[in-house]
Amino acid sequence: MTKQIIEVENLSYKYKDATDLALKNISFKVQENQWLSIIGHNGSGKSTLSRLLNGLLVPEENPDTKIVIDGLELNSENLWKIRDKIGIVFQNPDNQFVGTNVQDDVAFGLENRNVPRSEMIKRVDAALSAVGMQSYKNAEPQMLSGGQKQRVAIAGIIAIEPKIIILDESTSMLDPEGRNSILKLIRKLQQQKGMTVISITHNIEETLHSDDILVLDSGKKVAQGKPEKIFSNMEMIKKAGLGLPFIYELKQELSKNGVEIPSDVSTEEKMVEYLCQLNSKM
Amino acid sequence: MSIEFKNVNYIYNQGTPFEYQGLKDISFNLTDGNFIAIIGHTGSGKSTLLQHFDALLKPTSGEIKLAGFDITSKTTNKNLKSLRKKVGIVFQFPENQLFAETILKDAMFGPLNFGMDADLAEKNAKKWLKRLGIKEELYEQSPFDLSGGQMRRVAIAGVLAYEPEILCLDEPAAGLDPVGRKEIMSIFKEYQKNGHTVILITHEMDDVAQYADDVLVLQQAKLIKHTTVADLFENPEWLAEHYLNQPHAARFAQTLKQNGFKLKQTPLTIEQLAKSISKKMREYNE
Ligand SMILES: Nc1ncnc2c1ncn2[C@@H]1O[C@H](COP(=O)(O)OP(=O)(O)OP(=O)(O)O)[C@@H](O)[C@H]1O
Ligand SMILES: Nc1ncnc2c1ncn2[C@@H]1O[C@H](COP(=O)(O)OP(=O)(O)OP(=O)(O)O)[C@@H](O)[C@H]1O
Ligand SMILES: [Mg+2]
Ligand SMILES: [Mg+2]
Repeated sequence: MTKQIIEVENLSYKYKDATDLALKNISFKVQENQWLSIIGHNGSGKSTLSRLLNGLLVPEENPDTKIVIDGLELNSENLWKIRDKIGIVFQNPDNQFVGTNVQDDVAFGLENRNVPRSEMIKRVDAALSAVGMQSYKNAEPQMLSGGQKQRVAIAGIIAIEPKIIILDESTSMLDPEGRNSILKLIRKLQQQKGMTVISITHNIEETLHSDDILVLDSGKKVAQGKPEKIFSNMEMIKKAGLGLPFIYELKQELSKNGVEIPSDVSTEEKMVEYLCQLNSKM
Repeated sequence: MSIEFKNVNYIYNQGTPFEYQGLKDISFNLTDGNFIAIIGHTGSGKSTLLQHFDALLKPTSGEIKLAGFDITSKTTNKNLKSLRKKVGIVFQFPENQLFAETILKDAMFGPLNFGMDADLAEKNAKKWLKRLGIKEELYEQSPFDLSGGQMRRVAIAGVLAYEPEILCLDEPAAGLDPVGRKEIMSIFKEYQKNGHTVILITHEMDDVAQYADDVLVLQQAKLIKHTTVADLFENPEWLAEHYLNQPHAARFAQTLKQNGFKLKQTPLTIEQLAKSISKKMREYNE
């Protein structure tokens, strides 16, 4: 039995002094323990949406608008309970740093949640070693490289073990190895702790592994569905200003060269299998 | 002329408990007018190295020659303005680069600061903002009221607006959407072809393969390789040993090969991969 953990209805948002709405009447649901990717062109409203989910931004009063997180409606009364459930790793790790050094920084969220000191030390250490930053415990934020900052920002959130984790392009500056190991780590938490993951990303390959993809285009939701469904709708992808995963691009290129690949060949593994089968007949 | 690093060492926070050697005995020569990629893992020293190009960091020892300047530990800040006019850096975090009241003022700051007259500064700023996909309606808005990717675009426009001889880019495509990434990478390539040097830090091997001439590989503060793109990717074993990737097309070709489907040449781009697959299939049909 899956449970709905996020429910958003008719959500719009306009920044002060802006002429356009940043989000236009968005509705969507997320099931507990799922991995949702959010994709969309620059300025399409992804970060705005993430900040609305935990009440950092507040939509205008509207009786049709509803945000429900884990059974609680987002309002001033429930705000702190909801913030406890959601951990956001912000797009720019500099905006996340509050501590004077790495370990204080990671401890901050735990202090806020009144986690006992002995438990806190354990969790800070565990989170820092999980992201490979334990030897930088005492370093100050400005002494870190870009990728190291992103790792510490992630440690700060996994330490609090939120029910819902939102990653806003949190691995954009990691090398491919590092990115894979962080994504593996998050996947492990998803499986072992039942965490729900929302990943905002421009890395299309990464979204192929998600349960669900939400596509935003100029503040509007234009699609939601499984990766195969989303990426077979090339017209929508193109219109939304997005790119295709490698395998879909390869199929397009092959077709330009007169080689047509059946549509059910939709992963790299299947493509290898398909080509090698042809090859063995040659 | 060329860009020359001779035995460059850099030590952060020397003499404190946080002392850390960010660069170790780095030497290389780069040809002006080339497109050079700098690759390496998190913390390998890429940003540290790049900040030496405009003397934002000065070598603790060793010597750098570029754009007619000599930079050593003794270089004073006196003549740096004329160096920085010639060497522009787009930093890893664009927010640290933005500061003006409005987007247009931000993009005009560089040209004005380096002595361009106001009309030309405005013209250039607008030209590059437009090319970077920033709409005119936004020009009078604060650069901080933008999305992450939009800030990145403004930061890039602000450096291109004074058209530096040497354009240094620290992961400029991080945070750009896929279409923007392609467009902006090809703007850099065009900028190089028009007679400038481009230095690009990236983790994206597809971009290295597609745009760069030469590559510098850093590992733990040392330069472990300086070679051409073709040579770099002809050595999958060496790359694997150093936990570096081949471009996606090459990795795919590798998997094909392991499964018995061999291509004549290692493809570096999707276009090359599709061509060689279809060629192989045609040869069979004939
Ligand atoms: N603080 C702000 N004040 C006013 N407008 C803003 C502010 N932040 C964002 N915007 C605008 O709202 C829109 C959505 O921005 P948002 O940051 O949500 O985009 P995004 O999808 O996260 O983009 P990116 O991929 O570039 O991070 C954009 O048009 C942006 O210019
Ligand atoms: N101000 C500083 N004080 C002390 N150490 C520093 C400082 N700045 C950087 N370092 C250290 O120097 C090393 C190289 O940092 P640098 O920023 O050059 O890495 P990078 O290759 O750009 O990495 P990334 O891909 O993560 O951006 C890192 O280990 C970092 O912790
Ligand atoms: Mg964003
Ligand atoms: Mg860096």
